[in-house]
Amino acid sequence: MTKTYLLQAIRKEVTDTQIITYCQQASRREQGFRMLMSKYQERLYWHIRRMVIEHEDANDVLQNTLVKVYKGIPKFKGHSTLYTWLYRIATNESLTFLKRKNRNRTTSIEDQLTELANQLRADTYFDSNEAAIKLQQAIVRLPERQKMVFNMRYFEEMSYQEISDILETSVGGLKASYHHAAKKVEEYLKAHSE
Amino acid sequence: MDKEKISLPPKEEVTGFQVPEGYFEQLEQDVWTRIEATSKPRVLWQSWAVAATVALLLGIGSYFFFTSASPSDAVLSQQDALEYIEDNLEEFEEELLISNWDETDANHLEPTES
Repeated sequence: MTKTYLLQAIRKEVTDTQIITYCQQASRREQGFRMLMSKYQERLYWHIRRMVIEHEDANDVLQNTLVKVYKGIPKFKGHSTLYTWLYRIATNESLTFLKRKNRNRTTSIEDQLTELANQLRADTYFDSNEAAIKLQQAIVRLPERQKMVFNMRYFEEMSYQEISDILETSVGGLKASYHHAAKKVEEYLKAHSE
Repeated sequence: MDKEKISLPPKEEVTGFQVPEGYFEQLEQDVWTRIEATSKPRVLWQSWAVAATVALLLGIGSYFFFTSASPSDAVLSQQDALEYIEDNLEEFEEELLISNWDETDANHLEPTES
């Protein structure tokens, strides 16, 4: 029975309402949480990975996120959709991680870009084609907020409304933010194309 | 302001991130392990250890509090004060002595030969 639900969850057939109902019943909490993980873990992973870059860091942040979700879901009131709530926790966890990581960083932006390129080339879990490295270098130069908006729109193809729900910002502001970010990325890629 | 005016590469060509094989299958187990580790009720010896630590800290704190600035050192007894005044009588101005004169002090006076 559980396996059927998990398969449905993997195929995204389980509704969020079902997941929440299960998670909020002590006797079915584990089953509900497994369904939630099957449905959302991959999307959350990619969202976090694009923010923190390294797989090991993404794994750590994702696990923290899921533990927080497990502890918080019994009290989830449904003021936002489950999807929005999960993304919000993942985003906050990623930002906290990045803040901690960058706290003592004193190197210049150019040094950081070189460091990032070297790190990506050495990363076993990064297909180190130069175009992908250049794009990541362009993205890392963006302010955190623009970086998030750019990733969510460009890679995850989220609607402005979805991003607005997650980041709790106006749609108009997000459109402007994405435009500025995309423009900066385009300019960087043009300037650094061989 | 629409994104069509900006030319970016197709995302399929620039998505370089990969995950270790079988990562998502293993992830569920890892998350459960972490949840179990963080939800374990505190065992009895841990509670005792916390209580003992708090008691020890309170003990050390109290010791330093009561021994470092003992009030008995700071307060001068009346006898000490009188002795000090007697020894250093010349340093006090007459007016000051008179202004602080109390009639009860007369009881302490011993008759002197004049």
